[in-house]
Amino acid sequence: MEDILLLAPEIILAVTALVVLVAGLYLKTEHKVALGFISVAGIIMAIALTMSIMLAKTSASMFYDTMVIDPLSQVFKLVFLSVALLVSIASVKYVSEDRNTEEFFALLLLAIIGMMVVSSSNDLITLFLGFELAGLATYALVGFEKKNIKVLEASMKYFIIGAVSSAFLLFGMSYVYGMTGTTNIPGIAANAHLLVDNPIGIVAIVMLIAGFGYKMSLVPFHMWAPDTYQGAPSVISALLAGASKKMGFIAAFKVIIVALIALNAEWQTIFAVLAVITMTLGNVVALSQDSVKRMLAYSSVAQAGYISMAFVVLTPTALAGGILYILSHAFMKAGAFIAVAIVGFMILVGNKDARDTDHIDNFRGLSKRMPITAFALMVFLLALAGIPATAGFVSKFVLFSSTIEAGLVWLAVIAILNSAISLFYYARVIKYMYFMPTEGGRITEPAPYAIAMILALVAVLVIGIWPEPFIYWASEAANVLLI
Amino acid sequence: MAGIIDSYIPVAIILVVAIIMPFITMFIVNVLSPRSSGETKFDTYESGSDPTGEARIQFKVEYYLYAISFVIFDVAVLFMFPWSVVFVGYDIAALLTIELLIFITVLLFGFVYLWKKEGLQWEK
Amino acid sequence: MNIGDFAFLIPLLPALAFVITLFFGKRLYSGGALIPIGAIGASFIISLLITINILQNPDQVIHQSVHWFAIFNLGILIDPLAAVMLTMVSFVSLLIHIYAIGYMEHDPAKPRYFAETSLFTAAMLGVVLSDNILQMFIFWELVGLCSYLLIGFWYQKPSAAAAAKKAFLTTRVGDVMFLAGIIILFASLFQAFHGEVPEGVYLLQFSEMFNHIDALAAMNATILGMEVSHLTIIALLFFGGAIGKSGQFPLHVWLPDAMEGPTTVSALIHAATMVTAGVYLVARTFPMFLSAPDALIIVAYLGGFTALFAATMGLVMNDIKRVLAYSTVSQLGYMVLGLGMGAVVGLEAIGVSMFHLINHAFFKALLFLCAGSVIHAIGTQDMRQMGGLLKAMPITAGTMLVASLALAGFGIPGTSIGTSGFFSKDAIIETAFVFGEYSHDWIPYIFAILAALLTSIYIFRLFFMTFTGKSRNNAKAHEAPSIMTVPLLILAVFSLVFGALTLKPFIAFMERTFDNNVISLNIEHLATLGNYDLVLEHGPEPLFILWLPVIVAVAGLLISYLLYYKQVIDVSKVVSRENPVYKLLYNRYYQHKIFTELLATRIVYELISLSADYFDRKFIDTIVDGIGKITMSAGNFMRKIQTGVVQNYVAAVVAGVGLLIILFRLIVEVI
Repeated sequence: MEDILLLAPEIILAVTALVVLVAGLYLKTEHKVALGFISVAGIIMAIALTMSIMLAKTSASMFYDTMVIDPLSQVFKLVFLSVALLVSIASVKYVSEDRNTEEFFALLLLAIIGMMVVSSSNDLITLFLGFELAGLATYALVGFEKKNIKVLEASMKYFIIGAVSSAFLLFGMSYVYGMTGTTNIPGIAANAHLLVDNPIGIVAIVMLIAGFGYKMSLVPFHMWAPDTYQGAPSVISALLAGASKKMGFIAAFKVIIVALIALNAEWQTIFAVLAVITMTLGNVVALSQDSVKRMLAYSSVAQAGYISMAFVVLTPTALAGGILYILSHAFMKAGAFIAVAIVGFMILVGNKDARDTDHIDNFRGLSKRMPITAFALMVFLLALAGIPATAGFVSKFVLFSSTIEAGLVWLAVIAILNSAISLFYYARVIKYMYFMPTEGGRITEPAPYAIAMILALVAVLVIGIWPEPFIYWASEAANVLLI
Repeated sequence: MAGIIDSYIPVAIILVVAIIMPFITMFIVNVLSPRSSGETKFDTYESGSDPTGEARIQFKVEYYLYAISFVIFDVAVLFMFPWSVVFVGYDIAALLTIELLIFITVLLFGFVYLWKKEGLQWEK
Repeated sequence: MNIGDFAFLIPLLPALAFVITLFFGKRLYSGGALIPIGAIGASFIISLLITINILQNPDQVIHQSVHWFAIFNLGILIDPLAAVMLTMVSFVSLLIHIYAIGYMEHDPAKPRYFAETSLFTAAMLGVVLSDNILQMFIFWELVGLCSYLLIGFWYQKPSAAAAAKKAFLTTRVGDVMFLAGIIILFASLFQAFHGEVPEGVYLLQFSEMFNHIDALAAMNATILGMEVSHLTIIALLFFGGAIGKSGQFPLHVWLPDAMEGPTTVSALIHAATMVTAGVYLVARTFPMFLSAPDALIIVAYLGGFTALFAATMGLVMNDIKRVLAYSTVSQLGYMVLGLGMGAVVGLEAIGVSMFHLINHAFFKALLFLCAGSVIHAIGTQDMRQMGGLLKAMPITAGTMLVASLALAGFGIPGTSIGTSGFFSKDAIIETAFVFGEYSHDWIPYIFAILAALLTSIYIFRLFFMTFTGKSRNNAKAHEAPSIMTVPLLILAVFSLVFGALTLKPFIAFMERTFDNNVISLNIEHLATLGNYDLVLEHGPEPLFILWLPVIVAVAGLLISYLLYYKQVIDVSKVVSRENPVYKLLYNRYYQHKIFTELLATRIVYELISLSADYFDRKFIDTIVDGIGKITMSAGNFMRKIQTGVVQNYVAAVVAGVGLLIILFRLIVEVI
């Protein structure tokens, strides 16, 4: 029974989800704002519990070795929960006055539970279950504004590609099971030579890469990402980029690094190719985007490329760098999308029927209209570009220097060149915000949005200025992977 | 390795045959069949009687909702089957009962939700 | 709970005040002036309490350090040197901020002003209490940035914008040297540790630097055929940084132009927050200078030369603030000279120099604030337009007289009667005498004594031209409001009595900087490394030597009195464009011509810049533009792949899987 307590964060979230769902049925629309607060409270409790489990450095395996608790899983759970906290705080404003508030928060919580299950899973079946739980919940969340045709398109594309990728994933898993005779991840690792010696093993691993690569938005499995991030409500884009994408990484870390890749070093080359293509394509296409959300989506693709370098280098420092990058990126990207949500709110206040609220023209002179948002967004963008004193710099620094240490100078050079390219399109938004005139008046940010954004801002700056504890826990988590 | 591939050889043969067969039959039909053209020939075939109305009629969307809820509960009940059969002889009956009760409670929440959201109401 | 635990608040409070004032200043009283004042006041109180603590127990200095980023740390080190500096900086800055409420009353951009001065103070406090040289450098740069913002505060004025740029670029030359010094230091120490730094050891901490002076001195590099130890290179590069910040020859050119900012900013820069940083840097790293052969001699010569050189230019300036600016350069020269005297007197040099720094802060802030009060009253900075203000502005005139006496160094040797400037400047001149006596090198002493004469002449010229004689303009002068005069009076009291009260204990206190629980150094050993023969006991100097500075000061006063008050000689005859000496001085030794026209325009611009520009346009630009264009068009092309049709996406996924399988196959086979 003690084991169950280690899953207390997930249980609390599940209970919160049910409470929110049922309570919402009996509440009038104008009182439904309370549901948001209940969700936030549930998430905060889950964060506290997860953190206490992490700080105690608990290691346990449960449910017949299908779930594990270790620093790696706890660090990732914290990433997911932090993003969920930001998104749910911001959503208090976003879904206010909506009839279906309870569904929104219940789905959000269920999605997070799915991601947490993935980060704890030690078996392909649990992993797939968590993957699908998170996937199904987010499909619905993306299409939450069901009267909005653009949102529906985004949701539809996300769903179709998601279904295809799930099929690949499951297919790959079935091959792995067929080759090694087990679905247990350490068991697969023990029998991995069976896969390596077999041509079908290649098919299996490519299918797994395709399945995870879809969530990670690696090229060429990234095609849904720009359309979906752009079409989805900004807070949900924050969830997708901040948390859902990271679920792909933890799953890939678990299956590909732990079980498979360590055995066959040549396969790392394939990840090098994927990483380079992903970061270059993401950055180059981001250059010519006029929609800020789409630009952020491509930037997110590019960042996935940087993080994938961890698969290539595979040293403890590199993996720690990758995990740190995941943590930083969660805050930077979620913060940026929330800032875009605020701008969208501002535009809609001025004109109820405005379309394309995230077009870059709407960011003209933002520093005059909403100085706090403009400043925060500037910090997020600079962080994404990797300017010192922000989280982005620290994580890039650790990751890139570990790449150089490992002798892969060419890869580091490509990554650094890519960072240089990326600065261009980030700076473009900053130019619009600070150096372009505007005729609009000043508007106060709604409190929930502002709180969520400032929390993310503080996180980005704290990681940037005080990276030590974060690097420490990222290394702890990385050690789990390489034992 | 070779064993696995070998066991698929019959499948492969069927696959090949399945791909080739339609072409062969179509070719034979093409060669052998007589041709004539007339109004009846291009009409919709409806069991011999004269066709009436549109083929694309609309179903009520509630029908799908109804069907999906049915399938969900149907599948959920399916989980109870292994519960009642597989664990016979294990000494964890109390725990298992509690677990299943939790499972059913969660399902109940779903039922309440469906009811309150008027998912079971045919005419609105 | 120890007061030292609050030390981190000293720079943090003004920094927070910066943020609050910047964002909310508009809605608060007087542009939010009270927030920085409160914050700096609190910093002052904490600093003062810490100083008292350390005074009682100089062995126990405050040192806190936390790990920060890879192999660096963030830390606070408050030893006697830092404690005194902190107290002075926060105190003077506090008074200037209070004064600024009155002075900046009519300026619409007050919130920006107070926010920036608050940050300026925070940065300087940060420089002072850093426990490692990297952190110090970060704050040092922040000081530079703030000075740029504040000198260009009235950025609508082209001259202000140009002055800000000049200040920024000139100090940048020094900063680059400083940074180069840090890099060489780090690399050398890293080498000394054979690339393996134990956990918890931070190479750039001052204590760590000083502990490895031996190793640094042992490393040699050959430059221009000379064998130089790394230590000397590092020390001189640090001194390069100090030259830039503290306005020593030849990087002093920015200081007089920095007068374009509000007078309160000038007061901050000249007294408390900026120029003293360079002197502080040398004092802070003094053990490295002490063990580097010849470094201190270079310091001494340069300081002495700057003192005299700047004083000569102070003689002929007509702008009241420019006279004071050259006076600052000259006094900073004294401080640097004082540090250089460490070649003979060892650690006492720090005491002497810092003592002058503190006293100078009081009377120079006072001089600037008085000048500000005059400018505030009659709206011009040209002394030829002033005169006869004694009656209209008695408090300002009185405090100005006190400050002038302090600057000129009036007092009676052998007693404790005298202005603070007398005690501190005399101490430097006496040390220069000791230096001459033991090394038979009298040049620093001659520089110092000549500069003292000129100092007295130019400051009383300023006083007589401004406050006596007939009024030369029509403005109706009036005394400043009490919010401005009270700080003047406080500073005047300090200028009068601080020196007399604290001379001996102060210098003894300073010497404890390198002998406590954090840093404990064997000074004799270090001096042997640097080939300096220290004189630990030097008896009372001859009576004539004790009296000479005062005699010189009185002589200066008399000369000014005769020339500018009695006007025994028609000054305008001497002061004519025909007189070559006057012309040389008035044109500031043609520095402008040499620096701007010859060096900057002819050599740098025409020779280097234009050819570089040609190369840049023809070759680099083509390449860079080309890359940019190719990237952009690649982006445009690739975005077309994104058709928006979901079937294509699925096709891409399937094709991707196929390609990956082939790629894997190839890789596996090739390897």
